[in-house]
Amino acid sequence: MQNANDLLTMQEIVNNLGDAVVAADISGKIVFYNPAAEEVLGVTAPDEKADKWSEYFGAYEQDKVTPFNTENLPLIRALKGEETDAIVQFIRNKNRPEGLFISVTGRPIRTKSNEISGGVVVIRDISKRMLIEEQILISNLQLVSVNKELEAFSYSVSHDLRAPLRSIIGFSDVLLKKFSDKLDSEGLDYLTRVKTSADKLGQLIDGLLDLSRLTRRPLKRELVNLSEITKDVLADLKAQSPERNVQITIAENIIVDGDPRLLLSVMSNLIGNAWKFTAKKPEARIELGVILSGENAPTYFVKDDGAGFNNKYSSKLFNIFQRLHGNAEFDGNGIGLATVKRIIDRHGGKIWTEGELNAGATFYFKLNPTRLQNE
Amino acid sequence: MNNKILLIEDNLNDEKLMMMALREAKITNDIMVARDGEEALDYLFCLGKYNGRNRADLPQLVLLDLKLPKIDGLEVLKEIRANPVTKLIPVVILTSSREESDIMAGYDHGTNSFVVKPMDPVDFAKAIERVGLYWLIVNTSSI
Repeated sequence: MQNANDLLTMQEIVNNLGDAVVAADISGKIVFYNPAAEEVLGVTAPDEKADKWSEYFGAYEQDKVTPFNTENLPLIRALKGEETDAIVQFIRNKNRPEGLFISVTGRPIRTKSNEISGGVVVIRDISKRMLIEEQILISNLQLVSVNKELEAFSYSVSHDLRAPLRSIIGFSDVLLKKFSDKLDSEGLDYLTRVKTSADKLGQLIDGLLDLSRLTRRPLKRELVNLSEITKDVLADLKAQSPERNVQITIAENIIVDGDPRLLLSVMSNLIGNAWKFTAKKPEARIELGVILSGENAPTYFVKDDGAGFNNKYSSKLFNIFQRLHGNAEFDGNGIGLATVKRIIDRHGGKIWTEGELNAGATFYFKLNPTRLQNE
Repeated sequence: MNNKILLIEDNLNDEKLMMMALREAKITNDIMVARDGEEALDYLFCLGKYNGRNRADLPQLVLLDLKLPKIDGLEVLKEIRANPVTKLIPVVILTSSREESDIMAGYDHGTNSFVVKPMDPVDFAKAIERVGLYWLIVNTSSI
């Protein structure tokens, strides 16, 4: 350090700091004011007495309008022996008409005998940070209000839409069961159509409510064995249609970090789709696999050799109510893949797909936050 | 205690479906229907048009809808639990809502059970049958 004196004086160092440095002696006279101070604050060192500083610099509270009490200026407090850290002020004066936010940290200067001889503050322009924080705050408030609206909406759907629908379904069911002998075949056909459509609407409403609940429920992450979940899902499907001949390949012990309930929903939907869209093949194949790629997060995939789809629609598949097959061909409500995407998004991952008409579909997904990936 | 069921339900169609389901399940208890929360509380506490009713004559089971005119279901539940005479009556919330907030609030206010009315008529009838059989026959209540 002694050699440093030969090369660079302390004065030179402080004069070239990016942060403003201002020091005053115990009488309140400014004794040091580096070039950055003038650059940040927009004014030269004050000749005024300390009690006029707030006015001189144009110092305000964070609300930008309440004048900052001079007594509380970190430099004044430093002269009284107080230490302050990162006090935020707003500065607006004739040379800084737009104003800027600064963060000020002050310390008393003590002699060897520990008496206070002055004070020093370091001042940093934090306008950019404050602007970002303000934007985040506004976005958060907007998000909260949108969420509240969504919640109110789904609450009302939950209560008010299901009730009348239950009447339509319930009473058409009573008609079909108890009064079918009073209807001719045409009447019965119409009534069956009413019942079937109402059933469908009921499933849609429940699917939508499930989807909206997914976005609101807090994520509970733990280690989950995707292979085991997949086996359970497939066991259920096999039990429902034991006649199906499906060759199943599951990579063992795929352990992921995620919400078990939500991941079950992902696998139920993906495997369920694979099962559904291979139903017309006498022999079908379904595979769950993983692609490891060095430092990048692993990619998981569910692959089938079923009906597939034209690849040009691949990005549309995750939109709600988007269907590529008519109900007469394959049953469905267009909510499943939207649900899957919502869940993967909530895990910070991503999902994409490749397909070929009549040759099968593959759904790829990653579960780790994409910011951790070199993409 | 009598063996009445107090059904608090504003939706006439749901009431009809529920009556049909109860009859189908051979549950023959008298059913008193209140159309809103205020009427339900008037009945329970013998106020308004139920002034003069015997207060000790409590229903064996309350089936409570949540979204009700005038006084909502949670408020009714709160009043039932706050009053020493009625606080032990078994209450089953029967609602269209599967909202987690409703379920939490229901149990918070002391419901004995929370049943989401199924959309499917067969499931609906089955749920009503089970609720009826359990609370009226299997369960031993303290009142």
